[in-house]
Amino acid sequence: MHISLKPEVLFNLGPIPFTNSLLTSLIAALLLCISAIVVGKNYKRLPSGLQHVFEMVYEMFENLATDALGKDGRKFTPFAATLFLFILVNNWLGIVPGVGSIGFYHKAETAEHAAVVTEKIASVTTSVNGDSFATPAAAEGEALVFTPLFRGGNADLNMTFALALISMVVIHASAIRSAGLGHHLAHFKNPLEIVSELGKILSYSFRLFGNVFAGEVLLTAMASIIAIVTNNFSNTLFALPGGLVAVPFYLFELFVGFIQAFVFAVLTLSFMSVFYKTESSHAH
Amino acid sequence: MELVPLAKALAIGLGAIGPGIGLGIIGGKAVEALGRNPEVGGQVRTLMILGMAFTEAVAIYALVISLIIN
Repeated sequence: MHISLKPEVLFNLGPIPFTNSLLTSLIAALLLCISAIVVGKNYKRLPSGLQHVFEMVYEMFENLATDALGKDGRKFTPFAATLFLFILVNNWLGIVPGVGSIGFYHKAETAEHAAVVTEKIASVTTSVNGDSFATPAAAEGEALVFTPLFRGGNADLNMTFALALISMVVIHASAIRSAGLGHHLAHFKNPLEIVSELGKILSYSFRLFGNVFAGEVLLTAMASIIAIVTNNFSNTLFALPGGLVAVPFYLFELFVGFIQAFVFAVLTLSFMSVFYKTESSHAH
Repeated sequence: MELVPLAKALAIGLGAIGPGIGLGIIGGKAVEALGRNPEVGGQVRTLMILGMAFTEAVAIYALVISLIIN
């Protein structure tokens, strides 16, 4: 089994590589935008359907935010709920069948590049096809490389690191706005505090990335476990029982995706409450 | 002898011991707290999930290390 830690580059937008995880997260953002517009257009006093979901999420985070930050928490509810919804949709898009297995073959640019990339072929194809790396016979001996079109947005460290940076910037900016720059900097007289803030960024990003990526590896391993145990990668009949073995793990991944999105948003709120100066703490 | 698979297995295997014990303690204590004080269930659940996220992160670091060894 070969597992790629890096997302694959689909094409280059000028100097910026456009990766498959970026494509998936853009689709997630688009889905959220469309559903938000649909809900907003058909707003009813008595909620139904999708409006229920959005109101439930919003209410949940309103309660959590007011628990953590007092009545100022209402200001940060949209941010926390957005983080939650975006990460949730990304996690759940990542386990949709076809993400990681739908892709295209293309010729590798150079020989050594081909060797590197064929090693990193997303192993999801093995589980779906039931045989290992069903690379179509390449013309005149050139290696064809498989690039999946989609990859779970949070199975890319760039994405989770960016989310962690966003949430840390919001945490500190809100603290500075509420308490003033001098008061906020007084927290960091001890250099260890700065290290712990940097550690928060790392632990944020690695937690989300690790969970989502490990989930994908787990699903792949479970789907191909019969082929791995019997060491027979060419029997296509193994695909169906392999897929059935993976079903409980898909349910588990739905749960993990929810919990990780929740944890990310709640941790943002509770880290915010460490530095945030509420009205009540102004008094003493 | 090929040591790389062993290194991968040890990285995640040893790294999972501590978080495993920690998660057990967190879950057990949360249930204990719920049994004593059922009316604060919501708060206990949120705190439990937060504590578990921190503990689990340690295992995830070990997992990331084991995945990048090659």
